[in-house]
Amino acid sequence: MEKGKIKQVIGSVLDVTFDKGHLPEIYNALEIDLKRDGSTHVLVAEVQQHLGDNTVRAVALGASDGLVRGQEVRDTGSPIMVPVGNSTLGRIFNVLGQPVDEMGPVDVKETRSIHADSPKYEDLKPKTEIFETGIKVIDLIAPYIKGGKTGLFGGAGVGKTVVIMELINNIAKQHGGFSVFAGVGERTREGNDLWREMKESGVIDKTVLVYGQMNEPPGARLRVALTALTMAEYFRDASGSDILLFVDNIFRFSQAGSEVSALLGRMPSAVGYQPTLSTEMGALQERITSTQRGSITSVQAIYVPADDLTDPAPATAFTHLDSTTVLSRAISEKGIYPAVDPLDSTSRALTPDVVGEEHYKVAREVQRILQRYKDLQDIIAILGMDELSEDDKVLVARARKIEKFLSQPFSVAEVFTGFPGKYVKLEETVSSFKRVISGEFDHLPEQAFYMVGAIDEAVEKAKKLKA
Amino acid sequence: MATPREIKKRINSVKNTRKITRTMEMVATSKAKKMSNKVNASKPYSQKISELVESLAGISTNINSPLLRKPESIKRVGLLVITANRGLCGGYNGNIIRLAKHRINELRAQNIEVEIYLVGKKGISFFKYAKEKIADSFTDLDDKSGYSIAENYANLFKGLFISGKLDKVEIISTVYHSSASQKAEIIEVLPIASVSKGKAVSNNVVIYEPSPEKILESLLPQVINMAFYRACLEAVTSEQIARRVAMKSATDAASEMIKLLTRGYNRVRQAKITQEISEIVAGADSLK
Repeated sequence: MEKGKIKQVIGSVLDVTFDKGHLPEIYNALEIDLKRDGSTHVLVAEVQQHLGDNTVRAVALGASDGLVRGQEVRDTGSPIMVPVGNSTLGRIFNVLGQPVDEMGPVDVKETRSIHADSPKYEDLKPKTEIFETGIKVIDLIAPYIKGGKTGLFGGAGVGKTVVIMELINNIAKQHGGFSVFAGVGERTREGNDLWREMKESGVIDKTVLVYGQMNEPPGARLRVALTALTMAEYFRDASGSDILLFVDNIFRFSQAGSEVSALLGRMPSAVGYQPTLSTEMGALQERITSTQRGSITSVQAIYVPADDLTDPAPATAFTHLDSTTVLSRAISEKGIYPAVDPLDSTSRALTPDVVGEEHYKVAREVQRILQRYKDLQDIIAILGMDELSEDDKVLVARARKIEKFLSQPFSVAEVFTGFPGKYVKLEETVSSFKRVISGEFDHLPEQAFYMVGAIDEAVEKAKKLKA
Repeated sequence: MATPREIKKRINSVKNTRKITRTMEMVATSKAKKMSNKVNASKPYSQKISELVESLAGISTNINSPLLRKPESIKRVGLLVITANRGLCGGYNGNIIRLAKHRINELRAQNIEVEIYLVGKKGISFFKYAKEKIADSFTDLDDKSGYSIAENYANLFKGLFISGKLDKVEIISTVYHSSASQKAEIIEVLPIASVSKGKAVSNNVVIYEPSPEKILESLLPQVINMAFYRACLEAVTSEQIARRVAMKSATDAASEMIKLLTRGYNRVRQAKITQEISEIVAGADSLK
């Protein structure tokens, strides 16, 4: 094992000098013994750059306080290796693949490097098939794809995490295969909640949880998604099963990259992000993919800073996704949850070939009505409803009903809303909306469409409202 | 987030809209003034004529006019619905149409046939949209039209009533109570109601020549004409007032919108400047 000495420490970035000819490779893991509170523990750092003069620049994946210049550093000779395989199921890991759930050591049979090449072009699976989520607006407007990548965009506090939790609740619990959840830079409490909930429902035995939450230094948040991905990839490649990968929140990955970027000596690019933003995102996203052997269906929450979708971080993530679900503040302010923007959300699968003629037509008609309503909003704001033509008045009334009908009570939000969660089957969703746009329910009050499941419930609710 | 250019474009379009609504407000204000003068001027005449009819009815014994026909049962009602030719007058047309629809349903529920006569393009387009049968429609009523148009309407309905094609005629229009209050109302014009209620206010000083009955018979058509004229006049006046109010609130709403958009524009603009400065500074710093 090669040994070097710390030359400089800047925050979580450190420069290490090695003997001539013994320079560690880029992405190699370095180990440093750190004495803190009387005990010794190992700090791992990852080589990022070769600076010349036998010096490498590395990013610490743990807290770097206590590091001293001249301290001894060991080169492990390989990138970070994390345990993979069935023994990881039911456990919580940190970025280094160490269990953090205080349930004893993991029986490690096989380890893998967190850095790997993305699958080759000829290995990819071109099939497109719909993945039912039970959430009306998603299934109708931006259907998810089996083995596809989905982004869940949203500003602060519009409900990304709630949607992802509902998806876990709806899909992962019914799903036969394995699930991997990566908590990247989000609240530690949410991680804990999820773990307890999974234990309660029993899905924990088929799930791997990997956390590098907001309490961790940027190095950990930068790599934790890769750790989770490596574990998911193993299931895909080795057992050929269908994997669900949830990531909350991929933006924190970009953010962590930006935090260390300046310390690594790179010149900031647009909006202060790292110049390597799209490379980093590409390296991660290209690995999350389905191959001939097995599939990874991923759902990634993506925070949108200042509600600006054109911000470089969400914008670079956009291009990699098959389906994007955009949560909008304007809609959450109306009290409509999930606050999915039906005009901004898209899916590659929304074509007649994939979803079928009927679904496609209904979805497009819903979008058309809502778009028209949006266009008329200025007129309504200035001149009032009375100035609309009779056709437009009917359309506006219908649009408002559709808008309300796109809301849905969530199982995970039952404690907040007081409504029991509703799972709506895809066919029911399509037929319900088909009937609404045909004007069959024009006589029902708007309120009847709010926070219900399929259309029968809206009819029921209307009766109750009347009484 | 919208780009500054997009916001600017929207601000300009709202500003143009505001220009139009403000102009319409001013035009409607002056027209409303003129029209309410007309309404007020017509008041004494119509008051006098109904007084005269009442007193004449009181002293006459045998009135014989086809306009006083008392149908045994009402089978067929003619509705004259007066709306405007133009929109942009708030709830003016909507209120009339709503009342008319309500009345039509009410009458139909009693198994009474309804013949719809429409004045104004807005009413016509609505009833066409609702696929109702329209007996006849007119678009010639506006703020410049005078007595002759009202007389035409009156003659049409008098004819229909006398010939027995209609048993009852009602006007649905906006009634001008004062410059601050107008309401969509149903006015019954035929058969004439006031004659039967007339109390004997015989004026001994006046000597009627020829007999009061004869005068009354020739006066009754005038009463009908006057009712139509007043309805038309008040409808047009109310339309202008409604338009003035609607345009005023539209102008206010546009101003409010411009204010919000301008605020958004300034914020985006400032954010852009701040970002560029920080990028330049950071770039310059890292080159040191």
